Amino acid sequence: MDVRRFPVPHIAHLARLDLSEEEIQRFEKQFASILSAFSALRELDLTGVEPLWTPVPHTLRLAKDQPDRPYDRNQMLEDAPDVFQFYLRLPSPLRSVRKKQ
Amino acid sequence: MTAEFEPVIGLEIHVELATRRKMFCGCPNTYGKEPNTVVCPVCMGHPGTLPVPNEEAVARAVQLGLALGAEIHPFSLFFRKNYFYPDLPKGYQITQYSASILTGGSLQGVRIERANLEEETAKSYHTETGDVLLDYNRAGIPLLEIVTHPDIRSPEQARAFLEELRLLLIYLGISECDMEKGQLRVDANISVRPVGSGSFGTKVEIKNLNSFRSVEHALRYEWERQAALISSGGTVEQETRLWDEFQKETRPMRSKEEAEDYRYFMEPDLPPLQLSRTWLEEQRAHLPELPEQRRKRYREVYHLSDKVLEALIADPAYGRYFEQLAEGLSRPELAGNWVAVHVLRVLKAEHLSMEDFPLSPDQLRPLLRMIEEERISHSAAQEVFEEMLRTGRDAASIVEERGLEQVSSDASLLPVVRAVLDAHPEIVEKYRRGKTGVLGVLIGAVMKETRGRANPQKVRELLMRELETS
Repeated sequence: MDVRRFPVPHIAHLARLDLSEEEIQRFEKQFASILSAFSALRELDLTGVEPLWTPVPHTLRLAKDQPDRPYDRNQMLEDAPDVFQFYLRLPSPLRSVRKKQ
Repeated sequence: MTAEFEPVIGLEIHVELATRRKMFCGCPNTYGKEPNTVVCPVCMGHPGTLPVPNEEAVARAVQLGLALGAEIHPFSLFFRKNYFYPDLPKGYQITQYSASILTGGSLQGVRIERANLEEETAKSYHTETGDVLLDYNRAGIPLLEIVTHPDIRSPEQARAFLEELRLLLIYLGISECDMEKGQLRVDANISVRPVGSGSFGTKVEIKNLNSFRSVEHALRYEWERQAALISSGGTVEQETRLWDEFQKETRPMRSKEEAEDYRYFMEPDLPPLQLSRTWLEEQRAHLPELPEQRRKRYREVYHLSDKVLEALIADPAYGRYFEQLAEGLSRPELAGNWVAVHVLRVLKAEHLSMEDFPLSPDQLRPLLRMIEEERISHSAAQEVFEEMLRTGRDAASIVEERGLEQVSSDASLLPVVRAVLDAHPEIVEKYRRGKTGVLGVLIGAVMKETRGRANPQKVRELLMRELETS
């Protein structure tokens, strides 16, 4: 990837972030600097080095198939922005995309 | 038109795994509960929560892999598939992307490309005012995504493959595969190419396929549409189309407003999934008899006809019932026919599962034994069967009460046979002149005299013997 041209508006749109022109320019500069730091790694000779999948030494722990008691509904809905008949109510995601454009 | 073009079809199947808890949290794996009653901070994507994969879901995937002859990867990874949609509370779905637990294997000659473990999304309902209502009970249920190679060459083959895969999943106990409950969902890819061509055409993805029948219909429609389009000089566009079950046609989905860009990256909350050789061997030991193995055994051991065989294979419970019923009968194929014809007719008419069938194999067996011993006729047996279902009484007492026992002994039948011959000298005469077809009239007369209780085979024998000797 050309680090000088990190697609900030595209990524911002995917994350539904509304960035001003000024913010886009600022992030483009920051991303370029972050990514150029990584490009230093490309210069290393990695022949024969196994890929590192995780820096954590432990392996994945699996849970036994034993259900727990679910949480109380009212407690779980407490933080929801809007609730209608015990459903979470949200604006249509399609509508919010259209509004942006 | 379709004769000149062959379809090239691949399938993508999503199966909800029938585990007791969800994929990454402790919530029970349920269906049809009150909205948002089977949720917790993990499956609702609260910040700071961590996923812990369900061992049983991994085991189910591995069992399917063993059944398909797939390569099972003792080292696989989880990824985040990021997209912005409210049915994904975290803003991403955990899936396996390019480091699947299974690759390869095949079923009915269709090669499997891969199978990935992932998680269900929430169920969303769109209101008339344009809002979305969300029920997170389904969010986080374990899901297996199975992708085939484009090896399928007809809509019928696609359907047959899906039916066999469903059967396999049910035999393995991996999923109940109830399509009405969305436990098994299918998307299909189809392109067409001139017959004999080795290259691939532009493929179209079809969604909203709610039954195997709609898969077959939609593929046929799309095959014809693409063939007609190319024949008239047009080109197929790469797109996703929705199957309309009522209009029986596919229609382009509103085109996506942006190209798919899921920004996959490794799930930092989950280290690689590593499976030990011992654990994998344990899964192999848990494998039940699979549909194809059962077919082979039933053919070899019970000599069932193909039609009866397929009826019994359709549900593992049918086979279990049949095998118990057949035990101790000298003609097990009789048990096969009875389950396939009479028992299944009752189950279908009453919408019962095998477990709910009112008669146990031990209750039904004496009836079949009476048929075997020629003590009752087939038609009488059906009458007894209906009465058993209605009242739960045993076969023998119904047969006795209704006087349905078949008369087969010479001592009982010979006087009747002789009386009938004496009463119909003109028919006897015809028979002797070579019109042997009149024998049926005489058999009918004996049956009438005995009120249908005589063993027709025995009556025929006795009549012929008397006609030859007297």
